[in-house]
This record gives sequence, C-alpha cells and structure tokens, in this order.
Amino acid sequence: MKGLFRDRTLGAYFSLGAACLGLLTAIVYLIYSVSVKLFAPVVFVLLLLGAIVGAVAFVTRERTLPLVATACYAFSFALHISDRALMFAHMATNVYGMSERGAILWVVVLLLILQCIVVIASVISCFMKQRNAS
Amino acid sequence: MKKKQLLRGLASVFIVLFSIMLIATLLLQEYSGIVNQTLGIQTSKLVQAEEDEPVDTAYYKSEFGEINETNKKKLEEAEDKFTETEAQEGCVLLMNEEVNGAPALPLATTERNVTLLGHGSFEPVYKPNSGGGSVNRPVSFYQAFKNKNFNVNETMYAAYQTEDAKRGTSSNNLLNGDYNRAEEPLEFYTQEIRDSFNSYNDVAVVVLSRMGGEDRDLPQAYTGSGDYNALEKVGQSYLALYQDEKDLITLAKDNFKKVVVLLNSGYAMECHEFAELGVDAVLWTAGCGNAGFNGVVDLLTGASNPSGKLVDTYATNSLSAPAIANSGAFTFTNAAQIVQGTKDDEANETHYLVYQEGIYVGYKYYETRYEDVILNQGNASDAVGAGGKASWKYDEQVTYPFGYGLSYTEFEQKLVGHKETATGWEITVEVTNKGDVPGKSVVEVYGQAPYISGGVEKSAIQLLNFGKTKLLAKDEKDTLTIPIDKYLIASYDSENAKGYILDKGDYYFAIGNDCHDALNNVLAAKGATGMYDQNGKSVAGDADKTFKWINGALDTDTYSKSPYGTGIIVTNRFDDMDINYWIPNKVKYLTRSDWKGTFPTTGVELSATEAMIKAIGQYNYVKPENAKSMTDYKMGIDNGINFIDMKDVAYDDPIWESFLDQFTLDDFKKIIMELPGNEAIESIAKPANKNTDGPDGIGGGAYSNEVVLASSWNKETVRRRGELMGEDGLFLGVQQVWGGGANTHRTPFSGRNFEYYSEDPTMAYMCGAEEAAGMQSKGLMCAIKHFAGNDQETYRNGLNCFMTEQTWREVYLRAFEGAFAVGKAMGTMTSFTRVGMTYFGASSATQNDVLRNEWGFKGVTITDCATATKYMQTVDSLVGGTDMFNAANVSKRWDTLLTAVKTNNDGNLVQCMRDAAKHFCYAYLRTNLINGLSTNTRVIQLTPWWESVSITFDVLFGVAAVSLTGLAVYFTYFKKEEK
Repeated sequence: MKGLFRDRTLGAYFSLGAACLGLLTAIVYLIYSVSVKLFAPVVFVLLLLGAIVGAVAFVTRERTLPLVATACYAFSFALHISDRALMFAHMATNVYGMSERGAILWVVVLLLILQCIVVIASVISCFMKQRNAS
Repeated sequence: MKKKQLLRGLASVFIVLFSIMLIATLLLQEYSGIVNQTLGIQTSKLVQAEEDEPVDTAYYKSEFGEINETNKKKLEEAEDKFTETEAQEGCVLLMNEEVNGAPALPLATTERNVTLLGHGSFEPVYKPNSGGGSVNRPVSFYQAFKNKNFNVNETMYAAYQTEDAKRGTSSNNLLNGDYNRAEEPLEFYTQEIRDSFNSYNDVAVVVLSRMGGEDRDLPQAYTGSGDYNALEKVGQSYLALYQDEKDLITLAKDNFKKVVVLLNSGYAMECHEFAELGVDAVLWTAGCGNAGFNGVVDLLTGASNPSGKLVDTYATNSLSAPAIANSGAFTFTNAAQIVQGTKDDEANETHYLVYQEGIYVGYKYYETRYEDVILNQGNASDAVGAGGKASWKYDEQVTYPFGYGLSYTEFEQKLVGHKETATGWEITVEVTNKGDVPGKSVVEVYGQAPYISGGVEKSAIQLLNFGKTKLLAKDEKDTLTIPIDKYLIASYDSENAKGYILDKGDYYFAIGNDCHDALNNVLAAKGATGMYDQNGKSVAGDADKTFKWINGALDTDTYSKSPYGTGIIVTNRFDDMDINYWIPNKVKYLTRSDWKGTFPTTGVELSATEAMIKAIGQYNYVKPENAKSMTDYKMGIDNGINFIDMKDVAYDDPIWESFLDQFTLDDFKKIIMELPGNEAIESIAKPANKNTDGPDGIGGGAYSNEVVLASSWNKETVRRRGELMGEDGLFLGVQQVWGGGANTHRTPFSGRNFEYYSEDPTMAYMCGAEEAAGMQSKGLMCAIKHFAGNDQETYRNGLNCFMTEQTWREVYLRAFEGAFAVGKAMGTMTSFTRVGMTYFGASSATQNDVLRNEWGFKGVTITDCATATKYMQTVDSLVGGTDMFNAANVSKRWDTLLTAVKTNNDGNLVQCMRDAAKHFCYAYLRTNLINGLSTNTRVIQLTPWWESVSITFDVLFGVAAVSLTGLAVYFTYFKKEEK
C-alpha cells in the first residue's frame, strides 16, 4: 500500500481526486435521478467509467488513461446539461407544466458543479506528470 | 513542462471542448425550430422558374398593401386602435350610482383632476402570464388618462414606484405560494401623499387587479397557512376584497368627490361589498392589450358609451358554485400503486377531476336553481350550497348575472316577431334608444327546454344567440333579425336515446337584459309569481318578450345524425368518461330533481381500480390483424405533383393518394414532428412554415384578453380580431396560431380564464366561429385551444377528467364546436388532459369520431407542448387522431414511431402518417404559406447560420482533439523525448 503512493506526483493525486469526486457524484446522481424518475443511464455510466479509469490511472503506469477519464467525464457533463436543458428553459419561462416535472434545481446545480470540478481536475491532471522518476 | 505532458493536457482540453460543442450542436438541432424562430431565421426560400409567365401568387392579400415595414407600422397602428375598440365594446359597466343627483359616470368635462390609486394604476395586468401576444407598446392607465388630457396626481403615481411599495406584482409569486396581491397598508399613504389628494380630488380611480396565468390557477379559499397577506379570514376567497383594498377604498371615499373602481381582473371577483363601501361606479376592464386602456378612459368620459355585457356570473361568494368542490388538486388515494410499474412521471398519471356538477356550470346553476326555488321544486330552497344561510336565495348568491351590463342610456327592446325556419326559428327585435346619449344595445336571446324530473338534465335558461345594434342616436331604432338554431337547445341523452333529443313539452324563448331577466320573462310566460332580481327586488317578468314552441312528442330523430351534413350517426362514444363506468354507483351527479341530495359539498375521493390503473399506465396499440404492410405503400416516388398543385383539390379526390405516394418517411417526420414550425419539403416544393402561440396576438402586439373580446357581444368585433390576427400572420410569416381559447370558465379560479371566452359554451361556440372565420379569411390557420377539457391548470398534465357524456358534449365540446363546424377552423391544439382515462391526443372518440366525422373537420390536430411528457404516447396518439406533436422531442419520438413501423412492418401506422400528412397539407394549403407559390416554384431548404457555425466548431475541436491525442500517444509510447 505504501508503495502505491511512493512515486505519485501531484498530477496523479489530481487524477485520484477527480476519480473520487466523480464516484461520489455518480452515487449522488444515481440516488437523486432515480428518486425523481429522471435517470439517464449514459450520464451515470460515463461518470462511473471515468472514475474507474481515473482510479486505474492512479494505480498503474498508463500515462494516457487520464485522457480517457477526461473524455468520459466531459461527455457525461455535457449530456447531463443537455438532459436538463428543459428544466432550465422552464426556469426561464416560469412555466413548469409543459413537460417534465420533478427536477430539484439545487440538486441539479450541485451535480453540475461537482461534474465541472471533476472535469477541471482531470484536465489539470493531464497537464501534469503522473510519476516521479524511479 | 515536457512536450508529452503539454500534448496530453491540450488534448484533454480539446476533448472537453469537443464533447460540449457536440452535445450543444445536437441540442440546438433538437430545438432548431425554437432557435430559428427566436433568431428570426428563414429556413427555406422560393425560387421562381425564369420561363414562367408572371402570375399573381398573392393568394392572401393584406388590406394594408404590400408586405413591408411601412405597411407593418400601419398594421400596428390599426391593431392598437382596435384594442381601444375592444375595450369600448367589451368593458362592462357594473355599477353607476348617483352623486349629487347625477350618475357618477360619465365624468363631467369639469372633472379632470384625478388621483389613480392602487398598484394596478401604474403596473396594470395587461395579460396574466401566458404565451401569445407581446405587450410591446403598452399604454398604462396612467398614460391613458394623460392621453385624454386628465391632470393626474403625480405624487401618488410616483409613490407607487418607490421602494416603499412592497406589494409583489409578478404572477411568479403565485408559484412560490405568495398570493400577495393586496394593496399597501394605510401607513403607506403618508401625510404628503394625502395632502396631494386636495389638488386632484375630482375623482379617485381605484384600480384593483388579480393575477393568474399558465400553470398557475388562482388559489381558492385561504387555508390558514402560508403568506396570504391581508386575507384575514380562513375560508376567504382570493377573489374577495382584501382588507387593504377595502381600506384603500375607504381612504378614497374620505378624500375624493367620486370613487370609481376599475376591475383589472380577468377572473370574476366578488363585487357585493362595493356598494357598502360607498363606491360610486365600477367598470370591469380585465386586460385590454397594448392600447386598450385608452378606450377605458373613453368609457369614463362618455366619449364612448359602455355596451359590454358579462360573459361570466359574478357570484356574491366566488366559492359557491357546485363545481368548486371538485376543482383543484385531486390525487388518487392509491397513487403509489398507480405509479408502480409505469414509466411516466407520477405527476402525469395520478390526478383526476370529477365534473360532478354536470351541466350546471356558471349561470346554468344559479338560474336553474332560482327557477326551482320560484316553482318550489327539487328541494331548491335547501340550505345546501347557500354559504351558511338558512335557505338558498338567488339575490344572496348572485351580484351580477351572466349577460349583465349597464349603459349611459336606456334602451327599449321589443320582440316584434318570430317565425320557424329550416333550422329553427328567426326572431325580430326592435330596439329603440330612449335615453339622451348615443349607444349600442345587445339583444340576448335565450331558451328553455322542458325539464322532466328524473330525465335528461336541462338548464332553466340557456343562451342561444345574440346580436348588437349599430350606434343608436336618441330615439333612433334598429331592428335585428336573429336566427335560433334548434340544435343548440337539444339535449344529449346518454341513457336512453343515446343521442340528441328534443323532449316533449313547452319550449320557451326569450330576450332579456341578462340571463336572469330573460328567465324571469320565461317564468312570467309560464304564469309563475314571486320572481325577483339579483337585488332582491320583486319583478313581474315580461311575457311579451317570449314566445313558445310546443313539441308534441319526444323527438329522437332530428339530431340523430350530425347537423353539419356529414351523415354520421351521433351516439354514445364516451361511456368510459363517466367515473361510474369504472366504479359503479360511485358518484351522484348534480340533478335539479334533488338539489339537496346531489349538490357536491366535498370533492370526490377516488381509488383507482385495477382496470383503471391498467388504462392509465398502458398504451395498447397493436397492429390490426388485417393491416397492410409498410411495403404495400409507395413512398418517395415522383408523380410530379407539387404542394401548390393540391390547392383547390377536394378533400375526397383520389389524386391525394398519388400526392402522398411522393412522401418519404423523412417527409412524414417533418410533418408530424413539429419544432415549432415545420421544415420545408423540397421534393414537393412545400416551404417551411411557422406556428406560434396565441390567443391574444402572435408576437406583433397584444390584443385584449379573450374574455374582454367575448364581453363585447359583438360578432363583428370578434371577427375583426380574427382578421387582424390574420394580417399579423401575413406580415410575420406565421401560418398557424394556437388560439383562440375556448376552454370553459368552469370556476372563476382557472388561471387562464382571461384567455378563454366564457363560462357559457354557446358564447364560446359563437365567438370561436367568428374569430376562426376571421383568421382563416386572411390565411392564418386558427388552431383553437385547448381542445378540450383543459379547464384548470392545476395538474393539467395527464389529468383524468370524469363526467357524463351529456356534460362533455353540451358544455366542454360545444364550446369548440362552432370554431370547427361553423368558422371552419383548420387546426386545433389539443389538451394535456385525459378523456376519462385516455390521453386526449390518443382519444380517437373525440378526435376522429366527433371532431372529424360528426363535425366534418378536415384540418390538422396538434398536441400541446410534447417535448418530454411520456404519457403523450407517440404511437397511440398518432392512431388516435393526433397529426402533429408540438415542439416535439423530435429524435426520441420519431425513433419510437419508426421502430414501431419497421419492427412490425406496420402499414396501419404508415396509413396514419399519410392521413396526418393529408390533414396537414389540406390545412396549410388554406393559409398564407401558399403565397408566392406557382406550379413551377422550387423550394430550397436553407441551412441556418448557427448550424454551420456549430458544425464548424465541432469539426475543429474534433480534429484538434484527435490530432493532439494521437500526438500525445505517439510521444508517450513511441518516441523518446529529447532532453
């Protein structure tokens, strides 16, 4: 276990941090979206996949994996925004009866902020060295 | 930083940019109709063949000349002027007491120093929240008084604009549970303000407003929780006067020579306290569009004489109608069981309404009960529904009856003749202006069908038609000949005849100043005594204003077939709309044979049965056994028939089949999946079309609220409104408008009553017919909404509406019938609600059997906004008669439909698509969409600039992401980096 963290750089910790936060976000998303019947599998799966790949990047020496994780996070983030576009449209018009109901604004905003942080952390990680020279 | 790190970092940035841009592009394309409409982008253009002889292709011409900016300005000026006319014709003078020996109104020429009181005076409700017209050139009450050379108290006006004014005015407050529409407390009126009254004390004009809107019904009775502000009593109605409003009126009474109240409310407020408070005059205005308040001031000065009449009952207690108990929020007690296993949002499948009041909506309740009190029948005097009184008395229940309205002059109306015609009768009414000032008079024609206790329910009085005189000078006469359609007094018998009947007995027809006056005339003709008016004053009635027709035997034949010549037998189609069909003997509907035993005092509580749950949550379309295959239909072949070639082709002409053989599946998609608007179809040279919201305008301006228009009781005015909206369509390039509004004012609390005509279906029938005809004459498709049953906003999505077939047909469908069958409306926007358990858009009984077959409708049906709601199921709706899905979630819906077609090789669904395309083309060929089209015109689809830009960025970001990723991989794994 000690060896796992021995040669890790700040970049690797960014990757791990993004993965942990991504996992947490995925869990919150799952609980929330299922409860309000607005679950989009692709948003959840991509977020989870990103977190797994990010974690794998931390424990292995595959230096391009953070790129893959970033792609997963980014598409999940974009799809989630797209999925909630109607909700924001309804907020703008204050007419809520036209189509969907049930979305809770503050939870959606929180999830999007978390996803945004995950994406940024993962991008930063890509710019950084993943391992110290051994 | 090493090169490979930099490359990995840059690659990640571009992956992020690419993913966001790609999804944004897809999103924009999904909602391209909204984007294009918002940005004003044309998505197709016409190309004329050079070899063509010049032909006039302006099939629909503007009365303002060529379509250009100069003439558009002329139209806008005409529109604004027309809103003044609407106000002059439609605002209703409710009260006009004497002040110093003369009526308070009109104001004398010496009374020009006024103080405007109440928030509505500087921030009026032009229209409650909804789509449609934009109030972009508003004339406020303040500005209107200034325009008419009044001296307005500026100190008071300025005070309302300060931060000290706390009252919220946005309808959004309603969404947040803040029902605060009260006026400021008396402390707000400082000594400085009160001192300012002295110089402007000829008249205090107190403006009182109420707000509601789309998705926001008005709250009913105060429950004791939440911020209801000055509604101090639990149980008090939102439509009653708040204490702050009463205080304001008292303040005005103490400081001004006259107090005039303007009711700036599209919802029938409680008015009985105005007299007690000493108000001198009350004028109902609601919202009058851009410039209509100029017309309101004209009414106050007498430049115009009020001639509007109420189209709703103004009850003393707005909560006294039998519909109240079953309006608002009702949820099945086993909602969780319903939701379990279904795919839709809980909010769309677990709510219901039982229309337990039956046909007794609005005045039909109050007047029928009154007759039964007078004739001592049906336990009508019982205390039930009397609001705590010992017995039910009309004068304690109604402040102003349906059809009521005062004038500055006196008219005498004489029924001088009547004769039978092929469709009913024709009456002749002579009207004389007996007063001193010019004015117009409304002739209201009512009827009474004989009621047999325990038989088909009948209203004691019902509107049958109306007319309005020209402007009559003093002593001038006008003679109106008004037809009465016998069909409108027939009753629907769902139990025995299963069709429309004319019961055996005496039928009375009467004119009257309002519905109550007309009923008293009928009662006089029947020899009754003991009648009284809404003030409790004894009246005798006037039998000379009536005539009688005796029907010697029950007639089940005359209207056994559609009265519109379609040859279709009219029979029961809505047995399952009655809750007793699903749960036997669950509900006793209100009957006049037993007011005491059937008046609804509490809402019906329902638990959905297994059969009901199945009906709510499942959509059961299966390909019929004898259905054709998809491959049995020709698609995409070139028969050389363009869209414009079908212009004058009869609906039944077989050439339609050849025309439709040219459509591809993608073409059907462009028809059925509305964006809003529809894309061009190049192969048949059909241009892109624009659709938009109404009913009080289509974006170029705002007309009066529909309820004001209806209150004009002037068919010419209503038709003119339709024509001007048609002109808007020509100048704005709009072909379909989702308006007028013909839903019923079932209670005064429906948030959209302001944009629906009336509580009375005959009034809506007449107005819909005129407005639709006006629009269609100018090439604008009238897609009247929301057909039908969307009579409240609360839980409108998927709301299960239960009622008897008689109620459905005689009240809620009848309100729309005139627009289609008489006005020849070519479109309709359908309701979010359900017909019993079936989503309206999938209700073949309503859309196919009644609308098309019985009423002869040949146009196009479009759902209400169908972006995401799953219960508005695509396949079942298409089969059930829906032609277009409004603002559809295009790709998902189309995938669903296409999968259903291809999986089952379903020719039946292909036929439905062809039907939808035919309805669409038939309807749009009767709009301004054909302007500019000749048989050789080509239509070219244009790519909007935003689409090119977004795709360019997609490509740039995508290429950058791939390239940088490739380089990053290369430098990471294959090339040792130089130090």
